[in-house]
Amino acid sequence: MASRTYSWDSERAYLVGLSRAFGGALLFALPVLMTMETWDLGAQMNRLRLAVLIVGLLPLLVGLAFYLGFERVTSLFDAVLDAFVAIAVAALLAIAILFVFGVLDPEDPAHEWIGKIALQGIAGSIGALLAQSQFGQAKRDEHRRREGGVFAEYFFMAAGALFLSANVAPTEEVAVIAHMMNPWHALVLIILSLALMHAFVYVVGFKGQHARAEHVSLPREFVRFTVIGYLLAAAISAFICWCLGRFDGVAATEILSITIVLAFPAAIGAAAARLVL
Amino acid sequence: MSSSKTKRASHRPHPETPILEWLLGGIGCALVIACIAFLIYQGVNDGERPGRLISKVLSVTDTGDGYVARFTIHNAGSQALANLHVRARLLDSDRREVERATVVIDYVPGHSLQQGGFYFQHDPRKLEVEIRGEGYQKP
Repeated sequence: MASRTYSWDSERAYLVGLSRAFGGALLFALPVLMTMETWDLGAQMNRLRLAVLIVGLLPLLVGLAFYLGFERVTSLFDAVLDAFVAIAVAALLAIAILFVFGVLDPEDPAHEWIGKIALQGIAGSIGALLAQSQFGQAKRDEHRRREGGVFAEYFFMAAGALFLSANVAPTEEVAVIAHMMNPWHALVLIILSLALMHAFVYVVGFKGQHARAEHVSLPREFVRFTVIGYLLAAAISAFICWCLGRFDGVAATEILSITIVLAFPAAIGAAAARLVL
Repeated sequence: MSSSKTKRASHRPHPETPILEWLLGGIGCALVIACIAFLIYQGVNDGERPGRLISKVLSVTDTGDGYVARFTIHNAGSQALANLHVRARLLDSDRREVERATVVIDYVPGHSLQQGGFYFQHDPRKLEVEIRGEGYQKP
């Protein structure tokens, strides 16, 4: 019976962490939950591409859970379990909120429901994972983050880029902005994205700012993190646009400028993720 | 069911993993697998075929200065329809048009119902009501 008392304690502690996960999911998913385009897109977008998007999200969530080491994550298996918990939290939250909003109608066909909830779950599940790891008790500070090296940095950048671009990509404005820009605007936007990314991490002095290693030159650091991070952000932006059908029937030049537009928030997300995570 | 859980519990890599975590992790895993399976099934089998539109007048209300006929329209195809233009005509016994009304329905998913209403000057209960789709946009 002694083990039973112990298990209740751990159960209760887990419940607290779980509430935090719901809070984080709400915080991260609310802008998407309240954007009309995401409801429609989830229901209308190509089914196979939505499946690809979900499959692509899985390793990202597992990796985040692994590197951030939330709760007692020690093995890859624990990380997988945490990722699925985050998805369950995000899905339950999306169902509850969209139902209260009246967006989910019980009379709608199943594929509408699934599409709407699946698209909402992306931002929510990232939020749920971060909340468990980042907003947790301060005493875990010392083991908060696993040392992961360069690969982990790229990984965090990808997560940050995915989160921000997934929030922005469903809106019509991306295509509108891309349409209004001429090639010079696009060029300026690329330079601006790169400069801001670099400044975010190395110059402005946010908490968590990275000190440049003494033996590493500035141009090398710029190429190693900022340029590669930007390319990563652009690739993720293009992937999301393709999944959402934003590139269908669109000329190549337009595809490029849509990607550049969406890569701007994605780049900021990537840089911020390096600082925060 | 409980026996399988305890059996699994003895084999789990982490002795402190709460049951709640197993439960939610299981739900999340089931959701993802079901969702992906469903999406692939739909993507492979159910193409985007437009189909018949079946409409029905639900009720007619006298508004004082005219009439409102509430109707449903059912999209029997698998193609989702955006900006569906629907036209209703009131026909007399010789099938001559007495009056017409139109509505644009924002979005009707495949195999789904939408509701709307037509405003008429004449009482639709005394005439024949013909409701037809005129055209749509692919969403």
